[in-house]
Amino acid sequence: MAQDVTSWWKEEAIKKTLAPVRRFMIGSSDYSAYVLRWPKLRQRWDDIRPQNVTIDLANEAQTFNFFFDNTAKLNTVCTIDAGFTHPTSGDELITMHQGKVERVRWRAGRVSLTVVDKFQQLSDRQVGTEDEPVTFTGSNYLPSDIAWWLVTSYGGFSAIESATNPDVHWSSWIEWSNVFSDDAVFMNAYFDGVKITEALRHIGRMTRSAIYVDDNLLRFHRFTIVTSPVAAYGDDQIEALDMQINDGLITNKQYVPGNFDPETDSFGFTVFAVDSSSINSFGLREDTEKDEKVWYVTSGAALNLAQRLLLTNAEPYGQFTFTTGLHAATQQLGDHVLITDEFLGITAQVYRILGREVDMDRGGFELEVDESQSLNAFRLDYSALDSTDVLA
Amino acid sequence: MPFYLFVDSANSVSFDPEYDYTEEHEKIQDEHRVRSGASYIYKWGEFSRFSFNVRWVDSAFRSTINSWWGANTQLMLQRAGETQVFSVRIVNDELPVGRYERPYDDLWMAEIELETY
Repeated sequence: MAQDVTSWWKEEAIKKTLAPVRRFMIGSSDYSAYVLRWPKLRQRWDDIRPQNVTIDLANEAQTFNFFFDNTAKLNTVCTIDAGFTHPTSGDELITMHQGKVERVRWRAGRVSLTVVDKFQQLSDRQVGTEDEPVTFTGSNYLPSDIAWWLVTSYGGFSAIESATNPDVHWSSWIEWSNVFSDDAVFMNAYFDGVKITEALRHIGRMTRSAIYVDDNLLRFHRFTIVTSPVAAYGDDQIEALDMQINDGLITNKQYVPGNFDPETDSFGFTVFAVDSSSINSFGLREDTEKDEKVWYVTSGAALNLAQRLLLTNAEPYGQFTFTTGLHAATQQLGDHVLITDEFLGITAQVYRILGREVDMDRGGFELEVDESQSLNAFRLDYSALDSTDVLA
Repeated sequence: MPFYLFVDSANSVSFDPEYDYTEEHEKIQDEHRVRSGASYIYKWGEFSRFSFNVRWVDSAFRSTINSWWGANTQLMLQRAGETQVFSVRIVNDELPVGRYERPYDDLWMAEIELETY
């Protein structure tokens, strides 16, 4: 899932002396020279909402007054790119953010432009109404199919079922869908006037899926097994690192109700999964994951979620936040990285990127990584086999 | 050694700056110091600044410089005998040529600040 860039680009990103390039386009016009302050971009795997960024621009020459003169220009696609200039082939840039203008603010000789990504379109539309709800109850549906219909039939995204879809990252949706069909995970849903983004949040939460916009495409992931790390971080790459372990996240008896009936406001069954070892170590910690917008229709599918949640939360795990420079430029949500921290006794441990903040003004990155969404076959208390405490 | 400040060949002034002529160069960059002590510098850009006084200039020089200052005219700066040309603007906060050169009432002193753009 790392950004697809040339090997030259990757070698450039880790150099100690660099002259990076940033570009801000409004439509096909380059306004990079007017940028006073480049924005910060934030993403989290479970934060299903439009991402907006604000760019400060010089307007002493009244350059951006065209937004006031012709408000239709607010519908122009804006792009923020970053990269390097190859000595012979010119600029090699990757798209950091793309979207349309949500707000323009003029103050003295400056303009603040807020650009929001395509999640906004899903936030502007709703599915169903209170008197005419949209229901997915006539059959058993894969969560991915419900999500597809939400974003295409109701959200207005393209329904092209191939890699040419301009709105949905087709291959990520197919992989995501295969996870559910392979495990026979079926759901029903009932939407009575919620925003499309809100509906996606329900699906994301009940399936523990990442749904986010990257490179102007809507992507879907249900993170599974550990994949090959795309980068290694140690003292030569990390500026500062924080780690925390949160006992409050522990759950060792997970309930998942299913077969919700909107008429009676009740669930037809409840399954649970238990981790006895965790109970012995930390005491009984119970939690219920239920939803009255999307719900499982088979006990097997509900148990699938209960077991997944226990795999993640039965034991406390380290959550890391660290800052670095352009080393992280090509890494995206979901990528695995290796972390080494001598002081904490961590040697080449694999973690998944679950949050990412890019400071385009300073060229800095802040990554949030942990092992909560990296499902492994089983975990050893002590590893004499390898340095990662996990038998992969 | 004279300098030339011009828009084009038809719109130019020449001058000899006083010995307070100062040339500065500023880089716009960010440094990231990692835990091993290594330093990563990302240079986003750079610009030059020139500041100097010019004495005993006539009213034509005064009129041209003050007009360029007021209009934020994009100019070029070149030192005689050199090929390098800087694209500059006059960035003074106050009027550059506004004081008589004592005891004359038809000659002026100029304080000029230029920055590349």
